[in-house]
Amino acid sequence: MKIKGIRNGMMLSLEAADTVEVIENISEINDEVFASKVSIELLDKISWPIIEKLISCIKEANGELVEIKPSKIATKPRGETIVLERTIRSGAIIESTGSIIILGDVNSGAELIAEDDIFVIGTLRGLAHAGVNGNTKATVWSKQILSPQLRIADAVAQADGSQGDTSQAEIAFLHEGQIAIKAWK
Amino acid sequence: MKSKAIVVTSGKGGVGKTTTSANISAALAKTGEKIAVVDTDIGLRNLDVVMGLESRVVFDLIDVFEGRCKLNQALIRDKRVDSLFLLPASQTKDKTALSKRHMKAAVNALIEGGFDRVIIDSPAGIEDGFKTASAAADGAIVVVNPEISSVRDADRIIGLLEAQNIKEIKLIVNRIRPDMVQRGDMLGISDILDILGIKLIGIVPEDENVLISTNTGKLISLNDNSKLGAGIAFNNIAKRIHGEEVSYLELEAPQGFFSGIRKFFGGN
Repeated sequence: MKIKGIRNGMMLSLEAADTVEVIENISEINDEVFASKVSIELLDKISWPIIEKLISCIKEANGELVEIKPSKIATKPRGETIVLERTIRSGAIIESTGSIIILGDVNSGAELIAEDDIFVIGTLRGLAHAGVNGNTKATVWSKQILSPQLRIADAVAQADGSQGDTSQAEIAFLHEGQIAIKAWK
Repeated sequence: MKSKAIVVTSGKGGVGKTTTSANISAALAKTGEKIAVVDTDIGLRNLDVVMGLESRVVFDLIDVFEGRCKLNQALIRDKRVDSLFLLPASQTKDKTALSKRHMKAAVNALIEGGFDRVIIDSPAGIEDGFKTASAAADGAIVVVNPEISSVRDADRIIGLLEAQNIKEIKLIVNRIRPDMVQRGDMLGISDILDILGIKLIGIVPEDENVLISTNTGKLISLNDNSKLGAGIAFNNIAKRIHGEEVSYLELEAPQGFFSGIRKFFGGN
């Protein structure tokens, strides 16, 4: 949990790692943080018992709950998916706040930049950058990946010159911070 | 090809646009079409030299646009094939002297004036020179060499042509060396077609006679008799543009090379 003072009191920001025990510990050690006007901010998906615990701690400390700011992840609108049925040629840049689906080839010198996934129902020879705003769950799927470079979130991978089994589609994803490519089944 | 105004382009320089323009124009004229070939490479005029017409240039494209002469005065009739005319570029002006509006007007005037087809030789690059050259075209021939950088530039050019709504885009693979392709040292026709995804209209082998004829201003498509040469290839392209079905003969694709392109033409 992140704790910071704001103009009207305290801002408590709950993170994915927070548990009921974490909140109990804070309330035992330093319940002053709950004893003012408190705003709660959800930085991730937070389960209800944790929020309930926090509210009860604020009550115990005679604090006042001002507001609960919802999770940005949960409320962020899904970007629109771009679907293009043509060859994406050198020099073209396709950008999407969601996913990109290309029904055709993506040639060398073309760029696909998506906040979510990229699907190429053809051969991918250009640059694909999935999860461009830090979505580490984003993937790149293609009938054949021949790009010299792939990017997912903040990771960059260079082709090693080896070519996988070309009869099978491939999917690239982040695995422990590194980009991995495997045959898609 | 249905198109009346065909721009010959490539993106990359030095792949053989001018040689191709000159030779297919001459070969088309030989089939009976009345052809005007327009050099739009302002400031780097070459088509007149390749065609051996340098000494006869009096007026050029820019003179027409700027009203110093009539269109007919700038056209040079080729003495070897009398239905072939050259509209030369200016060697002393720069490319900004040429506008899309002027280009369209000139090409329309040529077609209305009785020319069956106008071949437009584009400058290299993707900037204004290319844009002006292609503005008046309704079809395009993209010239590519069997090398990665040329293919990538051709890809870019095809994208730009598609964006201009030019529907009929054909490909010429120039300077192919069947022996190198066979050894795997050069991109094959199928590799190139795979990447570019447009229809092939000709394969021109590497031929030292092209260089010799270019330097002497004798067009190889009018002179060459050799069976494996570029001259035959250019004549075949002209026939295909004219609408004839000409199969990709073994002389254009000797040895195992033929098997590589077979699947793209259904074994014709």
